[in-house]
Amino acid sequence: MEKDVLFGKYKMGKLLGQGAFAKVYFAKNIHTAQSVAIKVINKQKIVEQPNMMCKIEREISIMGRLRHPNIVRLYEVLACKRKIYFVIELAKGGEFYAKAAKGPFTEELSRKYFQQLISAVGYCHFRGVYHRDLKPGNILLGANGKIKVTDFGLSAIKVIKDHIRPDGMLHTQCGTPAYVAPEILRRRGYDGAGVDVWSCGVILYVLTAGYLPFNDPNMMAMYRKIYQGDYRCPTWMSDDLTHFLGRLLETNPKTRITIDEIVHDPWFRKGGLFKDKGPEFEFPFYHDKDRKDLDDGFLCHTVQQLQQQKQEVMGEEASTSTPLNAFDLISFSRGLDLSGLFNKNYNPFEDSEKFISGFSEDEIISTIREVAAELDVKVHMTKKECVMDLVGSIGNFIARVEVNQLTENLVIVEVKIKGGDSDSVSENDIWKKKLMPKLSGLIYDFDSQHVEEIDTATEPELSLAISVD
Amino acid sequence: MGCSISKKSKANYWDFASLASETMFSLDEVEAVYVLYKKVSCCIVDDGLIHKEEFRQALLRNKGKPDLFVDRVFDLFDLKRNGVLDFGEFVQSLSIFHPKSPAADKILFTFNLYDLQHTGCIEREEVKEMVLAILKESDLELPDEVIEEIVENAFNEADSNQDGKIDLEEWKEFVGKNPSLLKNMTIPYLMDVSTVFPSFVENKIMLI
Repeated sequence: MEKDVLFGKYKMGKLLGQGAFAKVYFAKNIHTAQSVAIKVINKQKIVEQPNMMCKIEREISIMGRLRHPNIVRLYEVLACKRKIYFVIELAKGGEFYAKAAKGPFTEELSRKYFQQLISAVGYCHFRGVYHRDLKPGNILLGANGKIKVTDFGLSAIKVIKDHIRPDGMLHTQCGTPAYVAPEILRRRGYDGAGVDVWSCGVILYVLTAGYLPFNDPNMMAMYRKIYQGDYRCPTWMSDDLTHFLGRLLETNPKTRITIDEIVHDPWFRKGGLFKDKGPEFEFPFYHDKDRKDLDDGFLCHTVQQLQQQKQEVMGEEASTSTPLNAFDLISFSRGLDLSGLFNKNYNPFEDSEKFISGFSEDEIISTIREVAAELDVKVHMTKKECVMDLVGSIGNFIARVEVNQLTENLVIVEVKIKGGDSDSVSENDIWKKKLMPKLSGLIYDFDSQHVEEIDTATEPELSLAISVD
Repeated sequence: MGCSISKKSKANYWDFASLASETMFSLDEVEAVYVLYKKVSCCIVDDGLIHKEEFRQALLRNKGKPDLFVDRVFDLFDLKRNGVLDFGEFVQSLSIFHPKSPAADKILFTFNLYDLQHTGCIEREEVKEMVLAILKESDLELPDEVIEEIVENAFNEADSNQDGKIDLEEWKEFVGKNPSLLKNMTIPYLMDVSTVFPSFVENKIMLI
C-alpha cells in the first residue's frame, strides 16, 4: 500500500487549511476519482466527556444522511489509533471568510447568502442536528458561488484548545466568542436552535455592516456587550433589516425569532423566495426531494449501510420475499452473530423482539402503516420486500420491522430497535409504549387457537378497532 | 499478580506478521483483533486466554450462561480442543468471517456448526433442537406440530436425496440457493477493522 494513500482508498493531496484542532487536506478517492476534502482530527485533542462516543456516533450517523445544497456532505468517517478522518465534500469555491472580509455587501447580496444559510440551518434543525458554532469560518463556497455550511453536528466533539483554562467548558468551546449567543456565556442550559439563530444574526450583521456587532479588544468587555445585546446598526441599513437584526440578536432566547418566523420576516422574503431561486429555497425544510438518495453513500454504520451490506452478502435473490426456512430461523440467534463481539454499539439493532402472527404479510404491513400514521411516524419500505423502517418526525430512527412467512398460515414479525446509548431511550419508548400496544391484536395466540377458529371473521375488525383507539 | 510475567510473554509470543500471512487479516487488522482479544480474554479470568464463559459473556452479555449456539461457535473456534481459545485460534477462526474469506470456508463452518453431534451430517433432531433453542431465545412459543412442519419444510428443500439427513454436498447446494444463510458468516466490521469508526470507540474504551 502506498504511504500517501489513506486506508487504500484516498490519495492525499495538499493541505487546504488548518484550524485550531483540525487539518484539512485535498484528497482523491482512487477507486472513483472523486475529489474530496479530508479533515483530520487528532484524537489526543478530544476532550473526554461522559457519553461522548455515543453522542458522536449518533450525530455522525445523522450528519451522514444530510443532503442539502448548502451543506457540505459528509461521505465517510474513518479512524485509526490516533486520528479521526472526516471525508467530506470538496467545496471548490474556497472559504467564505475571505469573501465576507471584503464586505459590506448590499442588502440584496447579503439576503441571498442569508437565505441559503437559513435554508441549511433549518434543514438540520428539523432533523435534530444543531451546529452550535456557526461563523464565517465554517462556511465555504461551492463552485457556483453558493454557500456551503460545514461541521454540522461536529459540536459533539469538543476539542482541547490552546487557551484551555481550568475553570471549564466555555473556553474550550469557542475560539472567538464573537458569534456566541449570550445564553452560552451565562452557562445556563441552552437550546441548540436558538444558539444557531443568534449566530446567524451575527453573520448577517457582518455581511451587511462589514464588521462585528460585538467587538472589543478586551475579551471581558466583548462578553459584556454580547450579554447585554449592546450593538448598534449603521445608519445606512434599511429599517426592515435593522428590525430583523434586532429579532435575531435578541438576548433572551425565549423571545428570539425562530427559524419558522425568520422565513416569514418581510426583509427575509423581500424579492420573493420560492419561484426564481430553485428548489433549495423551499421552506419549511422537511422536503427530501429524493428519499432514495438518503439510502446510499454514507459509510458510517448507519441503518442504511447495514442493510446494504447485508443485502450484498445475501445477494439480490433474498430481496424477494421467500418463506423463512428452519436455518434462517436459527441464524436469527444472537449467539451466531459474532459482530456482537466487537462493540455493543456496533450492532445498530441491539434489541429485537419477535412475534408470530396468523395475519398475512400485507395485512400486517397495512396495520402498521395505519398505527404509524396516527402517531406521526413515517414508514419507509426498504429495498427488501416486507422490511420497513419506522422513522419519527425529525428523522429519528425508531424501529425496523421485518415480516417473513414462517409456515403456510403463520408469519414471523421481527422488530429491531436501536439499542445502546441513552439517547435512543425515547425512540424505544415510542415503540414499546405507543406502537407495540396497538399491534398486540396481531399476535397469534396459540392457547386460544381453537376458540378463535370459530370466530376468525371478527378478528381483523378487532385489530382495526385497536388501531383506531 | 504472580502470573503477570507469563502474561507478558504470552503477548509477545504471537508473531503478528505470520498470523497476518496465514489469515485474511492485514498486520494492522491483526493488531486490532488483538485489542479485542485482550479485552475478551480478561473479562472474567485475566489469564490471556478466552474461556467459554468469557466468550458467552462477550457475545451475549448474559453473565456467561450456557447457550447452544455460542457454545457451538466456541467449540469450533477451539481448534486445539483444550477448552480455551488462544490468540492464534481466535485470529484463525475469526478470519473465516472476514469479508474476503472464500465462501467455501464459510459454508463448511456453518455445516460443522449445525452438525451438533459431529456425525458428518445434519440430522432432523439437530435441526429441531436448534429451532427450539432459537424460539426459546426469542421468547416465542410454537406448538410442536408447527415446529415439525418447519423442520419438515427445511428437509424437503435441503435433503435432495431424501435420506433423512443433510450431507455436505446437499448443504452446499442448499446454501447456494439460500445465500442469506451465510449472513452471520461475514462480519462487515472485519473489513478494515483497524480503521472503521467503531474501532476508535474500542480504542477509546481501552484508554479509559
